[in-house]
Amino acid sequence: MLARGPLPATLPRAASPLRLTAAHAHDLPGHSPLAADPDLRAFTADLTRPYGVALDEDALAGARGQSYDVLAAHAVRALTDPARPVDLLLLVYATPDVRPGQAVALRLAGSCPGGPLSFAICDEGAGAAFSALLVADAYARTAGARRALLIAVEQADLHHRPHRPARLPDRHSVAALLWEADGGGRALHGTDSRSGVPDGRVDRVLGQWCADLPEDALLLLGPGLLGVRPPDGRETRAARTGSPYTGGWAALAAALADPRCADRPLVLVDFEPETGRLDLAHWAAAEPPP
Amino acid sequence: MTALEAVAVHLPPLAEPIEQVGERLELTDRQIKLFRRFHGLDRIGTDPDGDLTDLLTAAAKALAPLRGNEHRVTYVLHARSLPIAAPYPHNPLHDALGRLGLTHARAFTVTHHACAGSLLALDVAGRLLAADPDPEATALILAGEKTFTRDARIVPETALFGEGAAACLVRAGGEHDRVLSYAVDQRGEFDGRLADDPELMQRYQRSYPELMVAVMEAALDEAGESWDSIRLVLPHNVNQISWQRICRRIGYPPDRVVLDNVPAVGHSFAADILLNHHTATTRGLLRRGDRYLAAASGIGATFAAMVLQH
Repeated sequence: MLARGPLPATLPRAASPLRLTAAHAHDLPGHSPLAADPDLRAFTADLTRPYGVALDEDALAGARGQSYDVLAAHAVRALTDPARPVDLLLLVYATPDVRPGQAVALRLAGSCPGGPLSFAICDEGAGAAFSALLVADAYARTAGARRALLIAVEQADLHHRPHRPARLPDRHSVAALLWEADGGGRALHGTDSRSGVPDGRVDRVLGQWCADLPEDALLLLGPGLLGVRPPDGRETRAARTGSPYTGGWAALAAALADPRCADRPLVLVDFEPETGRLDLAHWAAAEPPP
Repeated sequence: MTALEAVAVHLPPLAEPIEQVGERLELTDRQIKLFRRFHGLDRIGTDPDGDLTDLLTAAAKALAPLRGNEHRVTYVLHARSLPIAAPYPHNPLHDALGRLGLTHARAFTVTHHACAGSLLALDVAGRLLAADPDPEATALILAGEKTFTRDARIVPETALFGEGAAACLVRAGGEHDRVLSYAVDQRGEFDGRLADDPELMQRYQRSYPELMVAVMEAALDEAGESWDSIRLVLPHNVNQISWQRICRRIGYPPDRVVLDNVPAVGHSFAADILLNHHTATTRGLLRRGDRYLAAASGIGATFAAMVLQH
């Protein structure tokens, strides 16, 4: 049971109390037994019927797809331990789970140390990963979390035909970030966001943002920036485009694990073509644990 | 502190007798009678011609204070019961933003708390607004879903779902409908399909009253209130009998639980709390300063309660 009193109307502007202390990314081959559950066909047929969208018989008959519960459980095991209880768990996704009706976040609350407040954020494409950062930061600023686990999941198999071309993962993946208020890690230096950005203007906005970033910042380009010209004079690393909804955090995890990046600020930028939103998150260089 | 600036509802155009709904669901006469006589259901609101975008748009358009103030909306949250509501890449929430002139707002769905999701959305919105550097920032919460599959039409022996929708403007501070507390209890041990698992159904039904009362009393404690000071309860609209039983258990007058929408609309997922808020204020059941409690549970299971001051 979690209970809290009234929230403040305004907060003094101060640095975010949360630090990015660890990250984990993992691809999971194979398929979940849940992909063979007849309920998947029944649910998908009901879901698609009003939209006139056809089922993907190959994916259904082949029992293809992975479980968000299994993918996210990897991240919980990798990033948590009972001595460091988690207060807040956010599950982020854009494409459907192989068990589409399951409230996976609730199951994770039961297995994650600390029994955190746990819920899911979706329907924003790549932007949901940045919304999760804002939500975790807001909970931390309002005394709602001192340790937050953010987990993005995606699985490669859609069980209906998309009504138009859309980005889909080419593998089953999870990428997760651990944020802690106690010691070390990287402070969230800032975020920025721009809505209604046409595809052709993404590089221009990115260039404007880069003018305000530290010169030694490493720019991590999310999968939505495929084909966008990187800003001049900036060192960049591109995320895997085959992982549209976990690739950004996976690139961040790789940078965190790279000792050459420890004393450099990290900046993650991604674009969601479905909504036209460009997002940026900027972390300071790593601080040693106290 | 977080405050509800305005609440509006959209009721679907069709209110079908539960006998008609039950026939489509292939319920027995006995099951239908149980819903009518025991659970107090009469009609279920539905819109066979409209989709989720229509539903969310209609709820937001009913919100008069939104008109002309679209630029103030920083966040839009869809409080949704079902983890998936449209075939990818359809995105009814963002389609609704386009119709409402709100594409500038950061918009996402909060889910996995099932029908307790609107209370979660209020908590998330309140925290985002408190942390936002713009004191004028406003959040729009939308709630309402389509009854497109069997699990979105019926909770066996408990409730029939309807397509009522609601919209709510939220601010970080305000004069009325201020959030005093929020309590939530997440119980993953009740995960599963109740329709296929009688043992799970029995466990859930047996535990439900105790867990519901416990979360409501946790919210009361956190707000420094007691049942004596609570003017009104805004319930989720599963049925009437379960709330009558809870009232007996806690010694609270059942006529102060807003159950008007149970027979008229059906259980409208996470929109219930906002539908009942609108009913309570429209009927003049709340006076300035009254404390009231909103409570909901969602399959999976989540139990949540919130104390507010009108």
